[in-house]
Amino acid sequence: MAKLEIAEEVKVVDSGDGFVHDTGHLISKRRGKSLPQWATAWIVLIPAMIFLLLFMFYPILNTFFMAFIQNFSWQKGAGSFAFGNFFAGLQNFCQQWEINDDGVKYCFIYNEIPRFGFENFATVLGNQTFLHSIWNTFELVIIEVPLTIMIALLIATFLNGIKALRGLYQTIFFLPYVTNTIALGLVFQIIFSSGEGGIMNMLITALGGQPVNWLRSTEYHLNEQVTLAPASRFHQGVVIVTYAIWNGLAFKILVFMSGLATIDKQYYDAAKIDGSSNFTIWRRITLPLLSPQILYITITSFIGAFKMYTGVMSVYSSVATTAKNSFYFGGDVGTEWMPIVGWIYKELDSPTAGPGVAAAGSLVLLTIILIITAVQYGVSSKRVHY
Amino acid sequence: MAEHAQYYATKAQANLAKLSGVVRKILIYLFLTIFALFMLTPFVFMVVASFVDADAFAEFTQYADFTKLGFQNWTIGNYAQILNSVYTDNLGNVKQGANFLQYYLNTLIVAVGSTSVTVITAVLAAFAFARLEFKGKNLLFTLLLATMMIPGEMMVITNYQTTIQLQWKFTFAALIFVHGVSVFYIYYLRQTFQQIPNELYLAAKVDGVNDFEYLLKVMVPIAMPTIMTIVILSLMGSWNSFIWPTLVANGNWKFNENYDMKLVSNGLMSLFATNANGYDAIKIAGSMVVTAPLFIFFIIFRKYIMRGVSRSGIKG
Amino acid sequence: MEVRIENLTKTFVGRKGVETTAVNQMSFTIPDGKLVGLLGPSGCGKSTTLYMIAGLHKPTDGHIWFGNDDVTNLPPENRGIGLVFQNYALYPHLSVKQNIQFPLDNVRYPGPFGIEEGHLADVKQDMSLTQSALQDAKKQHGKLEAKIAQLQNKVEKAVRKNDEEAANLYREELANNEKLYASLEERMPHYAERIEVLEKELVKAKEALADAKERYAKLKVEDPERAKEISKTKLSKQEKDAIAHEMAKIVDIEQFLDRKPKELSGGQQQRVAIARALAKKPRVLLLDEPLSNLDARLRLQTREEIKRIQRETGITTVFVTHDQEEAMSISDIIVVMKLGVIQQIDEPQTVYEEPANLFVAKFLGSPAINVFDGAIKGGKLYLNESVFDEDPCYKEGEDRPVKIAVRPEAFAFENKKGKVPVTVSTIEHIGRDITINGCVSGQENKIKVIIPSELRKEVLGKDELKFNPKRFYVFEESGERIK
Repeated sequence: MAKLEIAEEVKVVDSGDGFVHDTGHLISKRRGKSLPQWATAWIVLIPAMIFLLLFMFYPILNTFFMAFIQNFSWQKGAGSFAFGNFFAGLQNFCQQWEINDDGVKYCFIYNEIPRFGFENFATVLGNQTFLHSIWNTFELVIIEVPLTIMIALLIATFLNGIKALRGLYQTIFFLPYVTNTIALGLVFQIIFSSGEGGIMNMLITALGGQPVNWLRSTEYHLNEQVTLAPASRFHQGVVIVTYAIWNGLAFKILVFMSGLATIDKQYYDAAKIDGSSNFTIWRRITLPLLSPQILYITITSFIGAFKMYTGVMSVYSSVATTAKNSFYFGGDVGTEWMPIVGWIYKELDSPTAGPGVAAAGSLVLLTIILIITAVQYGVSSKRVHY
Repeated sequence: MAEHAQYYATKAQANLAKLSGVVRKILIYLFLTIFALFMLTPFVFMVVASFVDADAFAEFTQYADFTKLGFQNWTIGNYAQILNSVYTDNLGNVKQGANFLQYYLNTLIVAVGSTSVTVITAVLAAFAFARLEFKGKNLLFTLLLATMMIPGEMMVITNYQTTIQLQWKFTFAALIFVHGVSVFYIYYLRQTFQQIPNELYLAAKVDGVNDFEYLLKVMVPIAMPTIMTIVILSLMGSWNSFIWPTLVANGNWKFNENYDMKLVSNGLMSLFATNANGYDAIKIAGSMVVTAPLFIFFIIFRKYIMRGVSRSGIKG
Repeated sequence: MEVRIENLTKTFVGRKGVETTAVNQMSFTIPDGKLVGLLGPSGCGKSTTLYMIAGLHKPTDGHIWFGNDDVTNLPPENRGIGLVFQNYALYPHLSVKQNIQFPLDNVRYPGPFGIEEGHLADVKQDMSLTQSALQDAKKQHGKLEAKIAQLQNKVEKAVRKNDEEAANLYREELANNEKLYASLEERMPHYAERIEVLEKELVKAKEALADAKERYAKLKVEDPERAKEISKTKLSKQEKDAIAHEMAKIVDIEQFLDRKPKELSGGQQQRVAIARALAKKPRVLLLDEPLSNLDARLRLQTREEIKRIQRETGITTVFVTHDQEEAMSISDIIVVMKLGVIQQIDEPQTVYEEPANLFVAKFLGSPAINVFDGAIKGGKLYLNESVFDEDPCYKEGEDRPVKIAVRPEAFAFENKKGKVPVTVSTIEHIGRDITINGCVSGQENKIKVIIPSELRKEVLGKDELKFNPKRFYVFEESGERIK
């Protein structure tokens, strides 16, 4: 290694005194035995696993069990574990003790005893409000999702075809994504109000139409509470769908744009040489090559739409319906457009049904989502080109 | 189209083709502009209304009198009322405000806290899944991915009760830790980590670096763009979170009865619910106050946000 | 630094428990300061061997020595090696300078007794590994004993029942287990021996450390300043910079120190990788397929460059390649491998001129060697029914088919009495040479002959040509060389 010596000023010590320490000699830092990979892996997984076990895996299983316990209620001191509450519930069978003439204590009023079974599911599926909420959700999903996807697809295609102002349009279309759902829902509420700030009604009036009672029957007009004719289901639906489209376009456009950007320009050139029209090119080349993105968007939109809640709620929240708990809304009369998730939150707080029924409801929601996903994969497996 | 003009038989035909190209362009721009307006209207309405004096705005809506929206009626009074805990009204009376500055602070604490926890756990877990070999790795990872299908409501039912049991209700811990892990971010980061070639790990081994140092000195710097995206998306998610805070922290802080620990979304909701005097301009100023910081954030980090979102498809 | 490899074996266990032996009982020695090429087709275990020398793969069996140090159980960072990867594996987020300095963050000067401490730690580690290996062996020993007894029982039972089939099955299994048992019995004393050696070594190492500490304590009193000087262990920024510059100078990339790897060309990136590997002043430099990611022109240039760097630094260098030309052109020694077994170790020209077996003969040389089916009959070598060669070495053994191999350039044009008649299909002129493609009647393989271009006039336009081999090799069907 004769020629491989470090520069002059670095070489300091001469080792005349028996020490091996000339500074040209480097050794590796000594460490303890290095950990085997599996040990390292579990150490770095600990933080995530703690949170995952406590706030994800455990709640999922717990809620699952809970759905099969009838008359479930949270018992004092029994923790959040469903079985713990189940047994505590068994012991706590008596609501009111009395002492009979012989001085013997007996149970005067019994509590309802928790027990296993499918009753919660029967309750859920027999509940008119729940069935109504499923219908509501279906209706909104069927109208909103295809409409949003088609508009997004059109906008993305058009955006992809232009050069000037493209960045500006892209940014504008993306804006709803970075807004607070609640804040904009509330703004929509005012836009569609039949009283103050009701821009939509002003527009309709200006065009010579009759103002519409969009959302609710009670409004404030200059501080005075005014009772109007009840808002129709149709009009309420229009507001919800408009907001959902407005809120949902951004993400879909972005995904379609990034999908379009990956399509090789050669396909288009080849098609042009063949003399295909623009529409043919779009239908025969763009759509098939974009099918992975379309599938992805369709599935996520359907799932997202079935979990719709915040949007509906923010459009509806108001003085009239937030008397006690600002949490479950479905429109003017409380349940007109209540989505499935809204129903689950309502039951969570309900004195009659309780968490067991809410848990069963969430399992029904999970089942619906799984079925839809499976069906969509099944249907599309033949039509998607990866 | 124009460059193919020479293929048309006559000049007239070529002109016609050119014209139809121009018409098509115009139609495209028209379509895009209409939808852009549809997207922008709520924002424009929000900005204008938030600055107009509350009384003037009410008159505008009552009589459809657009002159009321003119600059002569613009004021920052709405914002003063929204942001501060006390404000002085037109008549010089000191009144209680909506106190959004405090909600800002609360939200900031939660956003920074939960983002730190989320990013740290995600980086560590993604490292294990992407780089290390251990028994049960694939099973565990599949299990994690499967949870992404499950609706959050299933977890909320139990988590709410657990929060009560842990005595976390009305504490920041409930807001920061309960959503301290995101399976999606773990997945996203693992994808990035896996793209780092294996040889780099071996090279680092030869260079005397252990697994932890390799993570910190090599993997994290290389994956920095992805981590930045995660940080930004997570911050945005915290800013927009609503349901969970409403459940566990919609009121005063457990350790100080005078401290309102609402987050911005909750603050806005209660502003709309309780402010019965119906001055919409002030409510809209509230919406503006909640939305504006995100907008500024978006303008600064546009690149990261749009890239992250197009790959991810989640909204906080 | 001399590198000695002893009985090195590496067995990978696949997904279904199937064992594949990548390297089998390999032994060879690389003399100090030589450039050695490990050559073989892909999957021959050459990279595995390199990674075992580097310490990235743990050998299943065998030892690796650097000089007098047994490094078999040392982690890569403690071996004093530099490794250049096929794809260079530069840290993309660091500048060239930071890349070169990266290994330096993890080294230090030994300080007053660092060497002694290090040695002690190595011995201790080796000890614990050997002990655990011994324990494992003992455990397995016990298990095998029980198994063998059990199998013997089963055999007896089967014999009593006159079930010959089952008995044979059990006997087979028994034989396998007994073989394992025997190899274990053979290995166990080695472990015990090694532990004995290590125990002595441990005592010595402890003494040496105590001695060094004592001397240092003395020095501290006598000459505090000097003691302070020696106790320095960290590299200063200036030292690191000096090393980075020096390495950059060696590989000629000084002007790129502040660039990021992706701003460099492939050849430049490789120089950076070499500089990084050299920064720790390794005892052994290892290169994995160093030229495979470069284009043809750069490959020639880099070949020279590697040779120059190796000469200049004098570091023992091992590189892996599947390209015989590359190996021939720069190596001092070539190790030819096939399926985890060494075929031949020699200087490049010797390997070319005196191939040890048919595989080596076929693998080296471009265009490839011509191979014909021949036969030994009655002590003579035949090609197509006519006598090709006579030699006493054919007299041994029975009559049998053999392979005759002739390099394309080893033919002499003799149109009258040539032993190899060729039916010409094409003739290519390549500057100074003429390549004749054709076939030999009765032979399956096509033939390629290279002759000097002066003979152009004599061969052009002819359909039949005759050649005589100037040099040829004769191999058994199984590949061993006969002549």
